[in-house]
Amino acid sequence: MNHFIHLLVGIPIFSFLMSLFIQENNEKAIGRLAYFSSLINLIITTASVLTWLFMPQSAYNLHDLSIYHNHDYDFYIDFLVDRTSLTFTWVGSFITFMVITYSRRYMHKEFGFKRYFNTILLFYVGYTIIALSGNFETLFIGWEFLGISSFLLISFYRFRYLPVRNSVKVYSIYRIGDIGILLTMWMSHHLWHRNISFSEIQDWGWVHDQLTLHPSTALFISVMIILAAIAKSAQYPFTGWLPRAMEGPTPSSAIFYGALSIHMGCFLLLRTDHIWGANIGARWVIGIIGGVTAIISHLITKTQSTLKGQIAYSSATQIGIMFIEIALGLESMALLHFAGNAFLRSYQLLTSPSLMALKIREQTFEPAELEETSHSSNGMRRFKSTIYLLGLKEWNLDHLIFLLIFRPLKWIGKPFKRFSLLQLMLVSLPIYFFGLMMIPSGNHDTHGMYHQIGSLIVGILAVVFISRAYTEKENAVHAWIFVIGTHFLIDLAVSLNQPLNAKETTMYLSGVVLSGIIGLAILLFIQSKHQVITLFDYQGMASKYAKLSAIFLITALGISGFPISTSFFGEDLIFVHIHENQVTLATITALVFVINGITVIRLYAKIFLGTHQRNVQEKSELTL
Amino acid sequence: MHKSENISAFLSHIEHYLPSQAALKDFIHHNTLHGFQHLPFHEAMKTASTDFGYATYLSLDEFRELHQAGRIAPLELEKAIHQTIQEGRTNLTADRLMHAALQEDFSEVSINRQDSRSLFWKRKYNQSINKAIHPRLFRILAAYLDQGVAEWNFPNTAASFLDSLHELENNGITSIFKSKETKQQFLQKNWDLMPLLHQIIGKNDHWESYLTDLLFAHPGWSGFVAMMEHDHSKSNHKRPITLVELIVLELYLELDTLANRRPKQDQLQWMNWSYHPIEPVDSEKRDLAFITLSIWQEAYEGTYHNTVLQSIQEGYHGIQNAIAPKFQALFCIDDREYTLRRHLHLIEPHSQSFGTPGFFGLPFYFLQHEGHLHSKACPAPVTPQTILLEKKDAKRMKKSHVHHRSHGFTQGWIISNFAGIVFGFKLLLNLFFPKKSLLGTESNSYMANDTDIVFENNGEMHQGLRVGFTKEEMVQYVSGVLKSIGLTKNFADLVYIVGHGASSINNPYFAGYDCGACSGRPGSVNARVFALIANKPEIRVALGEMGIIIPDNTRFVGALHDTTNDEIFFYDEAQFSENQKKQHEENNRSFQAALLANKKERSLRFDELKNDSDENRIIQKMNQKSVSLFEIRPEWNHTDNALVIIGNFQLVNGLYLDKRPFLNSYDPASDPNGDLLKGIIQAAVPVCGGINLEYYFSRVDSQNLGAGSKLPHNVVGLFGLSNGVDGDLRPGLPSQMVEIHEPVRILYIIEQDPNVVLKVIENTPALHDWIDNEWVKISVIAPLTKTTKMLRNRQWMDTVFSSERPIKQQNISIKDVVAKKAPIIQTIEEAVS
Repeated sequence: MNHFIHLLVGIPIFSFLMSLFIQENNEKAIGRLAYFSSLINLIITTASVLTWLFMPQSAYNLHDLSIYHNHDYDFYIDFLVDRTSLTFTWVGSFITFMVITYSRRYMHKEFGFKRYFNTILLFYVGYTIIALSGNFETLFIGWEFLGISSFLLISFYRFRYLPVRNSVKVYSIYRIGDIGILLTMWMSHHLWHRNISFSEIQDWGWVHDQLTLHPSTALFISVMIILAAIAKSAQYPFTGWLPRAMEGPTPSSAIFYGALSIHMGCFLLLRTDHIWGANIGARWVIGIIGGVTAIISHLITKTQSTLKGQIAYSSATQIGIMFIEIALGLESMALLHFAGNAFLRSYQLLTSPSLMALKIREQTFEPAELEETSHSSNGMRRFKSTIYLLGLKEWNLDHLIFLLIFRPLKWIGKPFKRFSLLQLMLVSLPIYFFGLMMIPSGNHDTHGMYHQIGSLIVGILAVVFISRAYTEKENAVHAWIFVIGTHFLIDLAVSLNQPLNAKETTMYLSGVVLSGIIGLAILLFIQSKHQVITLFDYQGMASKYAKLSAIFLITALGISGFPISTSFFGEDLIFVHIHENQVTLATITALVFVINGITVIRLYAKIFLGTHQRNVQEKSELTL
Repeated sequence: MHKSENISAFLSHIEHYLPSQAALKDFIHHNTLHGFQHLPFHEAMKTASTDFGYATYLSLDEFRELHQAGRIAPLELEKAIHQTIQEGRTNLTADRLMHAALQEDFSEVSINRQDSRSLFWKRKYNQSINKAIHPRLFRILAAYLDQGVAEWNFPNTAASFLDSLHELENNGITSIFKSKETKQQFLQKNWDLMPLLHQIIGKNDHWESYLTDLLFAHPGWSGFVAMMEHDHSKSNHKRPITLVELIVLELYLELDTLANRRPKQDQLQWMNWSYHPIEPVDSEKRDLAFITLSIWQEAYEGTYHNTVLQSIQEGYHGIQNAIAPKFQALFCIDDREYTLRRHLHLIEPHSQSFGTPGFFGLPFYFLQHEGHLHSKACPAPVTPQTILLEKKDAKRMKKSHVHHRSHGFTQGWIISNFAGIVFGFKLLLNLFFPKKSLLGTESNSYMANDTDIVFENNGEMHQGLRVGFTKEEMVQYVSGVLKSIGLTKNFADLVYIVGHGASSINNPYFAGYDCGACSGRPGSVNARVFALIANKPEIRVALGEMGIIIPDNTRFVGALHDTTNDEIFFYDEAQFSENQKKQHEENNRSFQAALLANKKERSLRFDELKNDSDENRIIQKMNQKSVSLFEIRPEWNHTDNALVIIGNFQLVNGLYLDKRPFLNSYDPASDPNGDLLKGIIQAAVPVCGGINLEYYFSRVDSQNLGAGSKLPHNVVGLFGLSNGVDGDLRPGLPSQMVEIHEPVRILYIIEQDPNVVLKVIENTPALHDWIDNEWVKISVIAPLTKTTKMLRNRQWMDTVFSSERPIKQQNISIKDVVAKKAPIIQTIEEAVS
């Protein structure tokens, strides 16, 4: 069993890493690698599903390696195999296999063939990790991979404006979902006093006892899980991102937004139903959100006049219904529904170019429906028009996202916009050094009021820094420095609260410092070749500096706590040092992490993607 | 751009510059930059690039690569430089130009369009105006124009666009506008353009420039609306929309944005900023860049065209008298039919073939059995009075398909819950065992195989059109075709009339692959009806009176060539006599052999097959191209078109011209005054020139003039494609259709006396822009002197060839020619060996 799990996760990781080293123009090798690795996985999963069907077993949990361990904290990888994970893994490997087979020919000669397969394989790594994850930490690793591969596939046509803008938008919403998981991890750590695995949650009675003892904690965790689920599964009020994500090549849209990625919210809910399930309120919330999404998306579907938009909204409708099923505790039905919806939507997307011919042929034979002569009553007409108009405006969903995410971000940043980097540095450096000295020695919890206040002040300063980074437009280097500074401030803020030991601080900051310096060097290098890099418009530097752009993306991920740098574990560690009653500090930290992720990705997108400068000298790729 | 007095003058002026592509179901090729056609080609290329930010040539790097690879001959480069100086287009010396062509770096000369309107909004109102209004605008337009994607229709689409929108706004409690004032103003039907414009940019002399920027911020939608305004009769659901309405709505959306704006402190400095266009940059360097590009283009074209002319001239023996052939076949002038004909002549040297536009002179609409909507089966500019009816059909696939009915609430729930997995296996099946399915289009199903067609007029009317042709018409059409191709005697026992069509799946451009002369439909009906008419005894009698004597034992046979699968379907075989049946069997073997050879030759253009040596696998893979969902390049269509040859097939017989010529048969001896020639070039210049230039521009600027990559395309309202959900429509050809195309202008080679040709051109004013401004190039091969000449400024120039004889170049294979690694031309015998 252990080997089976390791194979399932290992093969995609291996083939992803291999795929990075194949030459750009070697389409055959890239295609084969992806094809065979997904085929092997499909065979293994099919075999195990069959075994499971004929010899039903109880859930199997694998407590895998510990990545970071100290006396009361254990960040370990854990896998769980049960009906839910098998269903998701099987559907996932089936669809991934088909999409890869499809894409091998479909993507031929496309500029970025290799990049496409790299990303699909990265997605598959993330997906498999999530589907088989046995605890929140493991799930979060996969969750992050999914987020970034999603960003990369939406912005596949990276020198065009719309794909890049939409990819940043979707990534931002994903980031909100991430924070849901991060805070869930934080709170559940305090609730159970250790990192708990999903198989332990299966113990109904025990979980129930814990939850009833701490009702507010339980509520908080439920809300955070729901937040993460609705962001990832495009439920109300986040539904508007789904159609906007259909910017990449059709098969990538199919696998992500038609089939797999979009159902991860359902997976999260199914995985954690013992946590939120006890709370009848949570059931209502999930059911209502699902219901609202289903109805609104359905009404929008009716007015969509583009095929991909239509498929996106009808998929969201079905996922809304799945949420209702989950809320009602109809787990089996939700699983069946997921599988069906995933296959159906990927089929619809992949065959959508055919519909032009198909429907026109049909129209030849079907008498055109007579235009509706309106005999309906005045009120009815008003009602119909209103519903139609709302559908046409997509119920302002896109605007809603703006109101929920981007306006608050702007709003937070606004008051500090007038302070320059220098001014803020002058203020914060003394505070920082003073704070450093103030860190209580020893690892005891008996710190005083002053520390708490100090911790909050530094925390707020971190928020100022990060929002300044978000609003900075005149100079990309400044924005980058603000980002680095934020991490130091957060580290200090938490240390003041409860001292981190040297190992923990090193773990957190080493990733930041390393990525920070490399990123800064790249920015300064580009700046030396041109003029100051501003962030008003997209600049598409990747066409000139393809390699640097790739390295910068990695540093950007490193600095935003992506699971390739030590900062990823650091982020988790940091939260351990925030107590369950310190909601303000937790909120500040969470907020900083959210904005940080959005800022950094936006920075990358603005500098390296989004536009293409052409001239009469150089050849321009046909499929840019 | 010149200044115009009023709005309607402005609109009719600007329309020519917008992309004019109708709904994709009727695909018609046209010169993408027809708005510039009044200018000489190279001047137009520079102007288009400066004014609209288009790339109008290959890049200098590409030209230099071609030069390195021997695809641009040094001699031709010198000739082009010399010619440029001679024409007075530059004051620079030949050495200077040569240096510019070969070495100078021009990367500072950028290609982009200045959008003054966006800048104005950004400065004055701190708004990304396009970002703010485009999604709403596109959604409303798509919803109104929708031909059958959305399940709910725009209310009252019989009314004009704004009226219909007005009704919606009037009834609905909510609004497309964010501000109440804008809604009120809209409801009062203040739809005059100027006052609206004044509210945004004030009284401003530059309003034309502002509106141009507005329209060109979404050229796809602007162009489509302009097309619909002029010709909405083509769409199945009528949508009376005008370009002005689009502008009015967009201005309202702009006003709406203004109404919600709170002035900001840091915007004060731009308070008095008024709209003015940014002058396009023009510099000496830019001038030189475009001179250099034009030199390369001429040299590029010259290299190919002169090699062809030289080869034709060397193999030319004047007009030959044909001996009685074994069989005769009429094909479309299409380049894809040329390759088939080449193989047919190799396999059966005693066959004779002709090329004529694939509608075979028959103008009509066709109505399928049980169909409600008729389709045009003749060239786009022709408006037929006649409709032909299909009497019955066998088993045409037309039933609906469950999967797109699954957008409903409960239906969707049931399907996705219980039947979803079926789709997984359906997809898997298609990936590994692709088969014909409802999703694909099939050339042979346009007309059912065993149906009868009502083509003779019996006094009936249908859908306001006359059913069938009158006898006079039939005689006129058939004799017209036969005369124009010079087939008036020496008839063989079997004369095949071969239309063509294509089959593909997952391909919104399906119509673009069918016969262009049949408005993007398979030419099966035309071919079959032509044969049926020509077989009628009373028509033969009438033809005989005109001097076209067709022997009694001659039979015309309709057929359809599927260019994707290389299959042929013959019609009305049951009516053969014993003798004809025997002959047909033999001929069919030649056809099948030629089709197989053609298929194998075509496989060389596909990367995954070109190095394959297993014949069975090649054939199998080629056959799957029209039914595999993941196949993005079912066939290459008109890729690489570069020649139109008007004359006898003997001109090119024995040469290997890859798939580059269109072939229109013409007998110079029977047309001393050029009357027939006039008929031919009147159609051939705009049609073939349009195809050629659309390929050219889609290739050199895939982003602005082509449709970019097909991969992210999203079907909009069944009439167009956009990138993603919020993108502009993408007119032009996708990169997957043009990526291996060599962008050269098309050369007409006419077998006729130069004076006759010149007279015909002078008497055909419609072609003057095309020819005088060199959007197409004209040459002749004179039957008397057996020499070739090129037309330049209405004068015949002697052709200058390199001393090397092209056909005696190295030993090269077809593979090399197709892969563009080798010289362009050779004798066919060498190629085959």
